[in-house]
Amino acid sequence: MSDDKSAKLIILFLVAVMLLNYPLMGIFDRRQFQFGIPLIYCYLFGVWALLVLFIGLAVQNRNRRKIR
Amino acid sequence: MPLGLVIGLALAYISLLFFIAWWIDKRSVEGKRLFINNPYVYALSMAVYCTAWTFFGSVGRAATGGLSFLAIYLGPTLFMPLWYMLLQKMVLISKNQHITSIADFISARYSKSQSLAVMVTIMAVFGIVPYISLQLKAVTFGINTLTHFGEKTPANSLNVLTDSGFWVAIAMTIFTAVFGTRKLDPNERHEGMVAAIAFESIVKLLVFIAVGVFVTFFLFSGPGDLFTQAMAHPQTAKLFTLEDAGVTPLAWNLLCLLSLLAIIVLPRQFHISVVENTATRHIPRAIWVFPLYLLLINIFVFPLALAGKMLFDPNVNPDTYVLSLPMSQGANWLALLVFIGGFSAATSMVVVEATALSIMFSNHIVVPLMIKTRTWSTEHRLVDGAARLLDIRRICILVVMALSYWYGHAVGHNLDLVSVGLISFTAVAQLAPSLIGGMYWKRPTRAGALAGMSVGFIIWAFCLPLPNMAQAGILPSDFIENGLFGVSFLRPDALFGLEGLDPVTHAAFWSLLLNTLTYGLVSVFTQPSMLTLTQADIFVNIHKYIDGQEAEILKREAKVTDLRIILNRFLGEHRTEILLSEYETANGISLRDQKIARADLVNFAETYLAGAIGAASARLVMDSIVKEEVITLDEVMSILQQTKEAVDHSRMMESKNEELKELTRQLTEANEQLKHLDRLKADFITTVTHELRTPVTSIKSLSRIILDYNDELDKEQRSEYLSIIATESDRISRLINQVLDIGKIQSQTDSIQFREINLTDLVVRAVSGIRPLCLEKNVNLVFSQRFQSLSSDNQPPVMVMADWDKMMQVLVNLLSNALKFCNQADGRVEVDMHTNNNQVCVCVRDNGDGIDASGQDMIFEKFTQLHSREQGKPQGTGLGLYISRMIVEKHAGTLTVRSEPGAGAAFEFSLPVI
Repeated sequence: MSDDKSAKLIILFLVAVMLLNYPLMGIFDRRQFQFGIPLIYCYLFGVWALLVLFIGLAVQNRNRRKIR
Repeated sequence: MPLGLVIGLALAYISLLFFIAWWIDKRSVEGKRLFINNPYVYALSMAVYCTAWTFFGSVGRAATGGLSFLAIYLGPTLFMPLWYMLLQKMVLISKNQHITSIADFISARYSKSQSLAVMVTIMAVFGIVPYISLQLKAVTFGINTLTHFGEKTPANSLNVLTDSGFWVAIAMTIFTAVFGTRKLDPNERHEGMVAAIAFESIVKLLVFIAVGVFVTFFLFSGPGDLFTQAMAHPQTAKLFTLEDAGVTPLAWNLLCLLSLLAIIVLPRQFHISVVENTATRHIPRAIWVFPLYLLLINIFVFPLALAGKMLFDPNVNPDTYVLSLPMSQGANWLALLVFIGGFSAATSMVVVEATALSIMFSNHIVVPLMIKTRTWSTEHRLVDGAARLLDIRRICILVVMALSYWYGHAVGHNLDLVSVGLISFTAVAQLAPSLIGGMYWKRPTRAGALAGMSVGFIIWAFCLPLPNMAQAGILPSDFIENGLFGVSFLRPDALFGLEGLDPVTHAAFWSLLLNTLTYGLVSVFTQPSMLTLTQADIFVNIHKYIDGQEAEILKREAKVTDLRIILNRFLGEHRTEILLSEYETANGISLRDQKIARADLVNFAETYLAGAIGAASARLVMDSIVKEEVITLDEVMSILQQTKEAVDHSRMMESKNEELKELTRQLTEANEQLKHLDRLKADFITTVTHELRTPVTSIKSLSRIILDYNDELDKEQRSEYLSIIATESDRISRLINQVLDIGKIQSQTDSIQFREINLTDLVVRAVSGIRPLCLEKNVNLVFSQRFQSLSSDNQPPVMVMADWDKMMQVLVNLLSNALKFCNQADGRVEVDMHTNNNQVCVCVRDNGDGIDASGQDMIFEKFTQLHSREQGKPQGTGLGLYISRMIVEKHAGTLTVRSEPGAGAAFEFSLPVI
């Protein structure tokens, strides 16, 4: 595994830990609606989806390049 | 809904799973590995993480705790980037070490310790039993809800035979026993099972999304409607923020931590993601597909909980909402599907977990006991070992399931699904420090791991299951109120006075903290064994060992026949034959000719045996037949000697290399010198011929004039010409003599005849010889003061070893040079002599123009003559100084010049005094 990739993954992990934990998460823990959906619900699932996307990009891009 | 229909459907579904597993195994044997060697199958099988707890319990949890249930899925999700690296390492280590369970993994890291393996197994069994009981309970719930919907939930029957939970447990046990132990694979790979698990993951996901869509879009008109209604509803309004739902930041963070650790250390997760991994290249795909799966299966949990809470009265158990919601709308077909989904989640978990536990249980507890009590070696010699191992596995599964049923029946019936699950999470999380620490840090010792895990496990047991058991009336309950032994800070819900946390957060905090601290501290203060160090290096630097180059420190030997017997017993004769012939062909030897198996064969057999019965057991078995050759001091010394020789050798090579370099340098220099000499020789010849031609030309032309014009020349002219001819002839002969001199002096030393001579005499003679010339040229030739005192009669004569004639030649040359170059108007030449440290120096000084620095170097070369403006080209051949210097050097002396332009020149030669 390249150091570059490891660094990316570690940064991604740290960002995820920050976004999905207190105190940052507390900012969105409000009785508000966004798109007709509770704000915190929206926030958690939004971060979740982005995280999946970025993890996918971080671990799979090298393979795809290889195939091309 | 009739019970028969539900059971019939469940049986049909199980049959389908069997069919899938059978079909995949058949394809695997045929070599068609499309569905096996597939990253998506791998990723989906990881979703065994989502059990009946997820399926029924998340909704239940959301109905009381709002979105707090998400921590259990967000923990693993945010961990995925690191999991990618950790998992790859774990898979590589496991493949290298033939590891088949998490107990195996941890024990292999710490010197293949038997006690550690037993400990991990016990912890896993205790930790997981509540979790399995939870699955049984969920299925029982499901059946009861389907068959008795709308009625009052039947009280737990005292008669086990009428308790549907009992029959569920029986059915699950049979299912697991048949499913998980259909064949014995040395690597514990069950392709069929994995494929069936992946299939179940798809089923539970689709069903859950279906019920979510049904409730959100058919019962309500979309999520907006559902959320708005729930916001207005008094029962659900407080669920919209985590703060209102009573979730503390610490609880959330610890829940994240617990669940991310669970991904690593839950036996079923370890089994699926490490043991069943067929290729490391599947990991990148799984690392993002798995969190995506978690996202999808959770997206409707909150809406379902809100809907259930709004529609049903508070008496309805929220854990059953997923089933009750469609049933309340008369969508019985959907309810049946939901049941199958929950059943999928439960069966997949139970099958994998029970299989993983039975591998541990049999490999680390039953087999070692049998080996130690010798039952294995005395009885059943002819029984196929593989079949026996499978029987043991089945019995283990039965034990695990019986424990689970008992737990659920006795303790778990008054707990909700998620709480039971979290108790298990906290238990297995105690394995994490030793597991992860051992993969990145070499220092931890077996004692450290044992101590850390023990502390963690004791705190866990004291804080979570024991109070539950006490509440269920199995244990006396006064320690909950008053603390252990009446000590108030030993209360299980407020250990060391830490109050105000929910039980799981509290237990997780203390157990993990003290576990990690103990592990680290004990490791630092104890010494690791040799084997631990070796294993630690493999675990930490697995990339070094991937090619199978295991460092061999212990030399072990065993009889081939013993080895064969052992292998037969555990692997069966057929597999043993295959294995040994594999070894024979790989190493090009025949085992029939050999009595003693070498260390590599012993290791080879041990690693394969480890696949069947675990590393620690394999080591135990091997120890019974192996003679461990203790490495003697002599051997160590000889190894060291060899190393030393190698080092010496390389040093020698280095110095040889230096010598060669030096020689090359000398050769290059010599070559340069030769080239220089060659050039000098060419110059010499050119110069000599040129020098010869000049007088010859003048002699030739003058003599021709005399010959041709003899009559016309007057006497005066003729004699002038003749005198020139005579001078030029002299010059030629002098030149020739000098050239001959050079040749003589250069070629041989013996032309010089050394005798003891009085140098003072020599100088006086030479000076008196040259004095007439001086008078003629009006040059003042004097001896210096020092010379006069040195040559006075009362002084001892200065004696040197020299050739009289040659030295005379040198002196005459120096004196005549001085005469030639001294001041024309007022010439003065001084001869000086002094002794100094066994050296005698003779100096001839003139008062001429002197020689500049560049000229001082040149004058000793052949044929160099300095030109001065006043005199033009001086007479002479340009060989005098060259010859003089050569003569002096042959006498082991030196000839040098000191001069400054305008201040005269001093030529000085020195010779050793006798």
